[in-house]
Amino acid sequence: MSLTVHAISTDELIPHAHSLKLSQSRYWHLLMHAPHNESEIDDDTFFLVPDGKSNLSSELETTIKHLNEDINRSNGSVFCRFPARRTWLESELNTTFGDGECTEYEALLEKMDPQKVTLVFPSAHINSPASMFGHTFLRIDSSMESKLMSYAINYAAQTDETNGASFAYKGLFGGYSGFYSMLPYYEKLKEYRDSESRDVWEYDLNLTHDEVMAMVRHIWELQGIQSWYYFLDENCSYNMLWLAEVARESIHLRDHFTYYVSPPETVRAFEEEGLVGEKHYRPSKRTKLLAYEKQLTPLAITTTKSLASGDHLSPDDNISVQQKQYSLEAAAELVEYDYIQGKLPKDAYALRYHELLRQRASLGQGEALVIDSKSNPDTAHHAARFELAKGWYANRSPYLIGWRPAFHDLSEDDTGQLSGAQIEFLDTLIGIENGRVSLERLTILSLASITPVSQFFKPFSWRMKAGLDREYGEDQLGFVTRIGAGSAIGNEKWYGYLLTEPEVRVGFKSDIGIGLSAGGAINWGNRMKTRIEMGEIVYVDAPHRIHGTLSHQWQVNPSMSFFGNFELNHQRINDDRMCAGVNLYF
Amino acid sequence: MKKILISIVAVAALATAGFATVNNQTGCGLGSQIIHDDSSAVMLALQATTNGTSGNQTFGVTSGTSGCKKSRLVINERAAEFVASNMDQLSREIAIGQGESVSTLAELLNVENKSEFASALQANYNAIYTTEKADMATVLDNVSTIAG
Repeated sequence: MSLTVHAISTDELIPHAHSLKLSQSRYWHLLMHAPHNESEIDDDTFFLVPDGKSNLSSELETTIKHLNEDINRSNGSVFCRFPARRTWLESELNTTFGDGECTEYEALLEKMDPQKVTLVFPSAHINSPASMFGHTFLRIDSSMESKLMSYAINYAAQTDETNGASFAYKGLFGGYSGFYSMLPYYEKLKEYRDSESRDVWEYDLNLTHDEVMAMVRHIWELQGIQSWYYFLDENCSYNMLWLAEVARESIHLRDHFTYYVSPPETVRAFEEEGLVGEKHYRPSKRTKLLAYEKQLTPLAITTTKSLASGDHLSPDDNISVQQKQYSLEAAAELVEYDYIQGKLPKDAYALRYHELLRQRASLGQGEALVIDSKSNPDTAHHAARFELAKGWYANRSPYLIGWRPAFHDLSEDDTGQLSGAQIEFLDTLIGIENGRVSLERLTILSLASITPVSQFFKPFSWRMKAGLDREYGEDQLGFVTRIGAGSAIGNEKWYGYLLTEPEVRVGFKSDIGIGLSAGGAINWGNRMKTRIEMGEIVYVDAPHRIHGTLSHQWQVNPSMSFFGNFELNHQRINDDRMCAGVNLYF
Repeated sequence: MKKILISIVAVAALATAGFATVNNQTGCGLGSQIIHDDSSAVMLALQATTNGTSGNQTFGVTSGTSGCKKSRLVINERAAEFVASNMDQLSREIAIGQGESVSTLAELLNVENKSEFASALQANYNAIYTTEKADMATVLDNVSTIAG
């Protein structure tokens, strides 16, 4: 039977492909990763003709020729390397290219047993505001009940960079190679949930088995294929969108983005395209330890800490069996946490960990630890902010228009975000009064990590800002760089902090100052948040300055919030500022 | 072009090493977790720019057990891989008497009654993990003896 089908010669197939306009079809562009007429893939081995990256038609013809005529159909042949192209062309041209011996691909399929796909979003990790952008990857689930044995499909830049500035520069403007990779899901959990202590969110996709197979065939084509990595657009999350569109041609995930693809927004794009079913939450190691803190009595906390430090070998006899169980479990988690953080050598860790678990096992079944659910990142406010407000200052009352491409500041609603984390890029505020336009603020970059200390964790809190403001002198614009460090207390509902902050000012006048700030925030629930801060800065060349902020914000939904704030600023003069307005998020 | 070539070479090198990445570094016993490396505060702050990982770009369908002693009783490569790569998590869940890793192991070993399996492993913790140096092969053999 296959003989008759083979009879279709390449000379007939290629004109047939042209008559169907296959090289201009959406699916061929998807397989080529070509948004328009050029592929985003930068790897010669992905193309069968030298100009394949930009000549999609020629690439299609050559693909058909190879598939139809090549004698070699074993591993590494065109026939075996491009199963997605092959399957699609067979279906479109209503032909078959015959059989091959693709043992490596078959072995992968057998091991992977692809059935369903899940989108995975590891959220921010503590003390790294930049990680608020998060990360997304896909997980191919098998028919096993356990998801740990599933395979994670990840796209990432490859780098051994240790220089932070170079890291950021190349990440933003290109210079790193991006690759798809595949690893067992348990390895990704060890990386994100355990090692980096990031809460992990999972979104089951409703792709059919045929659609899942289409995705897997295409993933195989991307093995070892390089593309330049760009943090803003051609990033980890963006590259997952191709895979999903290859699986289901009718969805248009990439159209949800214009200049910048933020991982949390890709989750929303999947939802808006009707792909998401059930959602799941996997608490990080840190979240789990904080949950133990909640369950443990003060005495049991002390016990846990001395067990983890190796000072005591068994729990205090004065505590209940349940508390003993929790203490031993939490101590084992803590010891493991210290090992992961590099604070404990492997041998000492293994010895202590084993001893704690041995004792825990002897106490039999207990109550499973309850971990409170958190707000899903897909409910957070959108990343880009457009601000409209009216200000009442000491000497003027401008209308204010602001634009911030990304991402979140401490005064904004924390729903779906990591509480106490801030990252802002290019936050710009313009004042307009009587036809006069003034630049009120241009923050190049600001970061904050307000991380409350707890029984088990003693992180420091810090923040930095670089940009233009009008806080120094008499309502004049100046450039400030400020880096502060300190400590915080609190939890998800509220926190308070104390920071010392040296600052350097240049612009209309250069100066150096050192400040002390105390502040805090309360999440009221219902997406209401109040923030307060007071501080004093002593300068070398100017009178010291007292500053304060009181703000309240109501996040009506992910797209809109109302706010009012009062800023106190006393240096030579009292320049107090009030403003009220609305933020629109995109 | 040079960069591309270097990358290809690097990937080829990683891909060939891919089948043994995890366990070659960490052995086959406790300590299978990934050590978190904060090079500096700046790196930490900028970490998200690439989601960069420096050795993870393999297409490994297996995390590998090539560095580990083989189990005698259990001829199940997937179970061996899973245990070798999840020693820490698995031992903790066995001690607690429940958890996703224990359920996964039960499924890999075709054990029907998962909660009974978990309780049996918990009760026999000392027999499974005779010392803190117990390795994958020993653990798997002991588990299969207990689960019968």
